[in-house]
Amino acid sequence: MELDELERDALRELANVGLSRAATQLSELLNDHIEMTVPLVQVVPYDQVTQALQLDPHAMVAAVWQSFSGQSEGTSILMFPSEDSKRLVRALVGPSMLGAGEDDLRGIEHEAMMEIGNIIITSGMAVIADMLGQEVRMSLPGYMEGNLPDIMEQRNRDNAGREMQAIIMFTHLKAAQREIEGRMVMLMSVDSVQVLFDRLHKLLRSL
Amino acid sequence: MKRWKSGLFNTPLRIVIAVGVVVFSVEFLFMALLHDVIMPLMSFTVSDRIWSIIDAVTLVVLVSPVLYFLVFVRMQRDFAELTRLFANLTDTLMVGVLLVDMDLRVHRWNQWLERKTGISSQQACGKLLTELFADLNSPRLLSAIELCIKHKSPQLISQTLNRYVLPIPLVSPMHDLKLMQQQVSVAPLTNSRGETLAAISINDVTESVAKSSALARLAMKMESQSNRDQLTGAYNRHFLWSWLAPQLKQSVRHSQSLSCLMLDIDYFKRINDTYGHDVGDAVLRGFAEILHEQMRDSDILVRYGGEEFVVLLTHADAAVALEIANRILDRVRKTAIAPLEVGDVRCSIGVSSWTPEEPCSAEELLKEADRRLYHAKHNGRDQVVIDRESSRTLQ
Repeated sequence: MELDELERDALRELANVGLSRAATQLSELLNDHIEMTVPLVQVVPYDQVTQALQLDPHAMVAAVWQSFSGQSEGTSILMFPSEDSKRLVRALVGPSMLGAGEDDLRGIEHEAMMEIGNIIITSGMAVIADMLGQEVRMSLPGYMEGNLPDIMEQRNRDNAGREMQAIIMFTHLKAAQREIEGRMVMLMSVDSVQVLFDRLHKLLRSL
Repeated sequence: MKRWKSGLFNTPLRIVIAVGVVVFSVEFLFMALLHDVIMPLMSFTVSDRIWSIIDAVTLVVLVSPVLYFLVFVRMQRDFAELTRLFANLTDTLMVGVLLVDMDLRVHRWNQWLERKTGISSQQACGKLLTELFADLNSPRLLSAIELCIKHKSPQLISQTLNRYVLPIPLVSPMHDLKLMQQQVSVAPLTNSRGETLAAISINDVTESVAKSSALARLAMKMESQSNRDQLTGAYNRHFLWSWLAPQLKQSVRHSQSLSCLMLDIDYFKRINDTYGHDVGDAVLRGFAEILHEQMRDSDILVRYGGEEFVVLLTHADAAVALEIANRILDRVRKTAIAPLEVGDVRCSIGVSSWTPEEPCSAEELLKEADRRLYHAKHNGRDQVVIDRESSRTLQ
């Protein structure tokens, strides 16, 4: 099950359209000009996700996740390097954090990241649901921090025993004069990915 | 009528008795009719075995619709009860719950919201959110409702990034907060016809926001108190060192000069001894005030010791520093400080500068200013010393 270059480009373009919508919403929310692009989309089997993400396995990662159900089931995880996400949130909500203690600060960061991640994941999954031609129901978002293997292991517990594939969107976020490289991983069953590929084929043939 | 009905059906035992009575009387009548009227008329005889079969079949045919009906009535009542319970459930919650559709029309409005907004459920249901809150100004709420209904993805609206979601005034304003601080989530709710509503739940977090901002204010106050001299409001030595090191780094980075004035009130001990400590304190306060007037916003004033002050001038080379120092000297001479006459208070000033051409450490900068202050004192007081050569010759 492979995508050719044309199909990968098409998927990337769709992802770009979806995430630029998220950027518009974030700009409105954060009162700042925010750009989001997807320079690369990959589809890999589950056991290759960690390598494919191209992240330092020891570095701390801040992750927001939402699981989804319906005809397709799985989990979407958005990851940013912990330090970057902290700096981003501090730059964006700086004034309201003045005088906050270290614990408050962490709470504020988690909450802000969760909402930002919520918006990005929703837009990303809207693209996927659109491609699948299915209705996908999302859970409320959750937040966690840890190194990459920990996060992947924790999030894949629900899917244990099923053959999973991962769609990886490399995201490039520009906000508050900063640039942050993130990854959105959508873990879903091989069958769902197959449906997505078939629809992508059809879409490209109809053009 | 209603009492009779509920009386008949409200316990299982009564239902069984009622059904039994009805079924057996009907069956008795039917069998009597069959046995005594129809059979003789048709001159037809059957064995007892056949009779018992007819009997059993009649019983089943009679009993099943009645039982079916009873179970149906019962189930419907349970279902209605459950629906009512669920409807009331939202009223028992300590959070605001409302249902809206894509057009922002309200479909449900729980008691908590009635209480907090003063808008009754009757008034709210069927109206648009924008009609209920003319000052609704939360683009995030609107986009969250859209994302939620369109993409079936619940949305969190955090208090961190969104101060006011629904503008609900507080009955008793807390500190400087006039509107309820909220943490909101929007989740999709789809009915069997596939229509999706957005279920919005609202947590009142005003109290915790007020608490944490009060704590933050307290922390800031404590910090500013520990950085400042209580008497004059000038910064203390502790702050001087924490401020100067990063400031010098910045000067290095941007190649900007920075100057230091070290000031001392002349014959301060004599003022204290003659007029008492209260007047001494007033002089210190008045002196600090004059310094403040002559400084720019980016400069800082430090009470360095008893009657010794330091003014740090950012982006100022020796020429600018000299000008400011002379202005201070002039103001002090011409001002009547506290209960004293014009000219009673004089001061001496030593000036040193850090420049990209002649950098030095923070300690050296202060030591040099102190050395020049010493020479100003030695030279007859009431003057500014800025020149290294003259200070050297005086040594």
